[in-house]
Amino acid sequence: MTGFRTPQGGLIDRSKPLEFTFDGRSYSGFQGDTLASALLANGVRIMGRSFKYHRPRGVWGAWFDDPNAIFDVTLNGRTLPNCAATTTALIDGMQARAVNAFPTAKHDLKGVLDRFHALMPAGFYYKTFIWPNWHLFEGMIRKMAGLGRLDGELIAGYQSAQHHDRCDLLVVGGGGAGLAAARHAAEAGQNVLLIEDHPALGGGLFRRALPVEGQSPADWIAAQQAAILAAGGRILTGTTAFGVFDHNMVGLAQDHGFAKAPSLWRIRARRILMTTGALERPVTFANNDRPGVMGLDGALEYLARYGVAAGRDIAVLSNNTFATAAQPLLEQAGCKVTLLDATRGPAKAIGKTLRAVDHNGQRIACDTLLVSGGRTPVVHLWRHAGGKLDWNNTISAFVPGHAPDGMAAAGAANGTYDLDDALSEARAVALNHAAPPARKPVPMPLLQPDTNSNTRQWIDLQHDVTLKDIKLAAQENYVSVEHLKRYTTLGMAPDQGKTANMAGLAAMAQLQGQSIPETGTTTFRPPFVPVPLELYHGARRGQLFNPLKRLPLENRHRAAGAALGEYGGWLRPAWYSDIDAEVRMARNHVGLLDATPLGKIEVMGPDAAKFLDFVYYNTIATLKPGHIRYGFMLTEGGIVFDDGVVARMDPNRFVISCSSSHVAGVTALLESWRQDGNDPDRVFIHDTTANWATLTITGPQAKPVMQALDLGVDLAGFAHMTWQTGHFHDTPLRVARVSFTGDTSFEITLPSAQAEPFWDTALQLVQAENGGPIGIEAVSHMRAEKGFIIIGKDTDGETMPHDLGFSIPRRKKRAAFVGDRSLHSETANRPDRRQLVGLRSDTLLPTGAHLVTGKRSIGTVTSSYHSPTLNHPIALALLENGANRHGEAITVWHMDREIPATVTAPCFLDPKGDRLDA
Amino acid sequence: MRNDSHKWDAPTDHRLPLIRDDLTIRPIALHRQTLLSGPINTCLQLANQPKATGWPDPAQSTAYALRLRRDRILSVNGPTLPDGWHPQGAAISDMTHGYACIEISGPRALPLLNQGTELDPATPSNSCMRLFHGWPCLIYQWQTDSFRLHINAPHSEALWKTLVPFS
Repeated sequence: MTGFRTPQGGLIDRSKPLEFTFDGRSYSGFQGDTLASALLANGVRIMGRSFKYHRPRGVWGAWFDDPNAIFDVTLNGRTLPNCAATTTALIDGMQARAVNAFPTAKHDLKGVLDRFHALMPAGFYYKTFIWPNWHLFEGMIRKMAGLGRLDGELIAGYQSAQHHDRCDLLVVGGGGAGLAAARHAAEAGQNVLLIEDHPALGGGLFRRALPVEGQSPADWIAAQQAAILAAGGRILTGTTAFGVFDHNMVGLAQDHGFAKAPSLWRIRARRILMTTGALERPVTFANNDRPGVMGLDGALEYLARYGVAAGRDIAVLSNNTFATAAQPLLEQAGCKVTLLDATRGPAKAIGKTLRAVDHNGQRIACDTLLVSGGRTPVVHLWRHAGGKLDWNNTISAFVPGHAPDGMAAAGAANGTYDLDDALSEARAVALNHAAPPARKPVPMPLLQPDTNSNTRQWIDLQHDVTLKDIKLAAQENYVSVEHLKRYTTLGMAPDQGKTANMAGLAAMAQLQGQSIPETGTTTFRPPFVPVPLELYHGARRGQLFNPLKRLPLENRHRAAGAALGEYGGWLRPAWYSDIDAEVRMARNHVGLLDATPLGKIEVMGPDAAKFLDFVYYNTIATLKPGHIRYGFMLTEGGIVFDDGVVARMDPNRFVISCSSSHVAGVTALLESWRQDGNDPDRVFIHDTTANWATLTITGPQAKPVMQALDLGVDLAGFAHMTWQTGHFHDTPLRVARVSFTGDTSFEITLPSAQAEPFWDTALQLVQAENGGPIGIEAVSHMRAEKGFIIIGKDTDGETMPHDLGFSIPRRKKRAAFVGDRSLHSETANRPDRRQLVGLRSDTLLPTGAHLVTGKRSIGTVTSSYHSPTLNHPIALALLENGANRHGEAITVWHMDREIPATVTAPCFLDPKGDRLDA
Repeated sequence: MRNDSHKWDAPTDHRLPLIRDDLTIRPIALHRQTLLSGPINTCLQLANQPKATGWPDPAQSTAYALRLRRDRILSVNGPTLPDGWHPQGAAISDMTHGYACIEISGPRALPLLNQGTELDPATPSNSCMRLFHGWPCLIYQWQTDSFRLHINAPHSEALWKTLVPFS
């Protein structure tokens, strides 16, 4: 019990006490506290356990740089896992529990693991759990891994708002440099946005506690804030820039309090000024993980912001002059302070409950050891944007080097630690001027660990990476920093290199006998701090997560009792009553199908015919106006991309009716080829699918229905694969004679606004012929009876058109076309290519089942149905050399079951096509 | 085979505008929409328009043209033009029912749009094509304080449902 609340000071509201619990014990704090500051004020030292050895951990820092105090927090029945105690604002009634500890952080039963630490060095599980089988141990290890606990309950209303915005200058960090820069730029007329992740502006000015340009920190901060706002600048507090993305897009997470989803701001900034400050750098020495060993800056933050002293008897181990400045502040708070020079020999913390530090041959009694091994500029955003880092020998740190476009750094983030220098630099950079040279550099000699010591010296407090682990990594040749990071887990997870990175680099550099810049740095990636996945979620949720396209006739289908389902990105009627009955109805009488999703892509221009000749496997240029042709589009690899029909409207206009699910893909493919090798002013592509409804009348009684509809078309002379124009009342329409069922069919395409009246009329007439509506499932059965394929279902990523029986263009087409060359490759001519066949069996074959010879798969079942027309199972399949195997018996294997089948031609019904004109 | 009808709400009645103090969202029935591709001046001439609206200049009159890309416009309430290849060198397609149009007006209109896309009156664009909450849309200013969105009609239900919670 060493930390205590000072009688005065801090930004907290002492008139508003708050009650909370930690690991089941009750404590109190004040409005403005964080969970960590309140616990520290209550004298709580142990706030967590390390990941691997379950060593006790106190707080190291006071903000996002603390790796130790991570809690599951419950408030009003809502639990959030993995809350950083240092950044979670205290609320009355909070119940916090340390993660990775049972039953409490103070008395963690798994703490016994630390006794076996010698058996668990870096990478031990890679080596230990490989025999007899990793999976034997996987469950146990996964159970032990991880930190917080999800309670499985959704938090109602937990939804992130998203905003897009712009500014001339985005200033990241509301400390002294950031405030000065933002004010200067705003007063110069720039559209300025200043963000600060703390609830209050000021950054490190509070802990510094010295006048700023003749004013108290609070007055100076208030003056800058007022001036920025008066000049039209904007300020967002409680907001963290978590990443810089392409084209100066900065992602901001705006905090709204506990269990409320943060807002996402996507800010497009003309310039980004990084005034993100610098982090305290740890010192590597024996037992430096003991609770009570803290960063100096962290302790000063607790004192300045929360009125909490970290201890009463404090030793400060430092290599820089900030410790000297801190001494009177700590003493004013009632602490006894001893300064120790970290450059003068190694140190060792004494006592499980810290009671002293051995340093330079002396033992100094203390209950708290504050350390400062220098500063590490916060350069994460700089690296996200692709900026380079330079090593600065004076301050022994990586600082921003060659700048990414539209980005600059100032203040401590740029290695300028003196406040006056930082303010001058920030004001200059804010106006895109060159920064004046620093007048008062703050030298910080590099501290290197004692690599000859056998003591336990911590590099990464959260993941229990010690100096010994770095040595082991070096010994096993994981000397690249990227390998070092992954082998040891150094700097991973929330830390992201904030505290552990430089200590690890220094150790590896020392071990390799090289400098830190020669050793290099790891890659920084967004997010800078952990953010909930909800932040990225946006409005796309529930039915809007991946919404289907909706038919203009959907309400009619619902009223008819249709079962709706997803087909190629559309919500379509699967069936209305009974699939088999619908098939029999359409085969024997007539069916009405909503075929609206069929592609209606117009290709127009003087070069349209030549263009389609190039894009299609088949010859299109010879197609006459008024006629329709079935064809394939191929990829450059000769693989079937889509099939469908092309109708020629006039010499310069074609309409492609492609697969319903491929409209976007076909449009993109056409547009891609249009822009490659064609005069772009002589051929254009319009996807007009959304403008039209298409209804198909199919079956032996289709013609009587068409006669009754009286659409003004010449039914007597209406040949298969031709089209005509007509009208429904005053609405012009197109009628095409194409068939996907094998029966006489008419596809009527009319403006979607007229779909409902046309459907109502047509359905009445269809029902008069003992027909009715049919769903897509019935059509799927009917097309399979005819051996008609569905691309992507009956073809795969290797299927070429000759595998489907379409080989004439490959042999005879003279004009160049997409995929031509690939159709003549050795692969394309292999005798064992998988070809489309039919399968007959007494059993309904599972789709996806393998066709086997012995234990080898030689094909797969691609479609399988019980044919209501033929009253037996039918299937389509891709089979090696299938075209030459008709009549062969074959074994179908599925889930250890073998089913006999016979290979047939793909077409099971009306192979001569007599029904087309029945 | 599943019956997923219950997973998808029946289409809402788009004809009912959503009216709040500082925001109105309402469907717009346009008389005619025509897609024209070709040299831009040819397209404008055929559409009988002097220019095509991009961003942020507003469309002002009843009939106007929207610039979609370098060589494409959408003529709104323009002259009747036959589908197909026009001898002057332009491709023409009727899209009257292909795009649904929604109008958003009021002081909260632009902030609402900025929840789904990046729109800055100070950053002009020749084109009014945008992704709005991930949907390909045409977004432009309409007269003084309104904005209009055109979306492919089969996705208009999803766009409407997206806007409702924000209204």
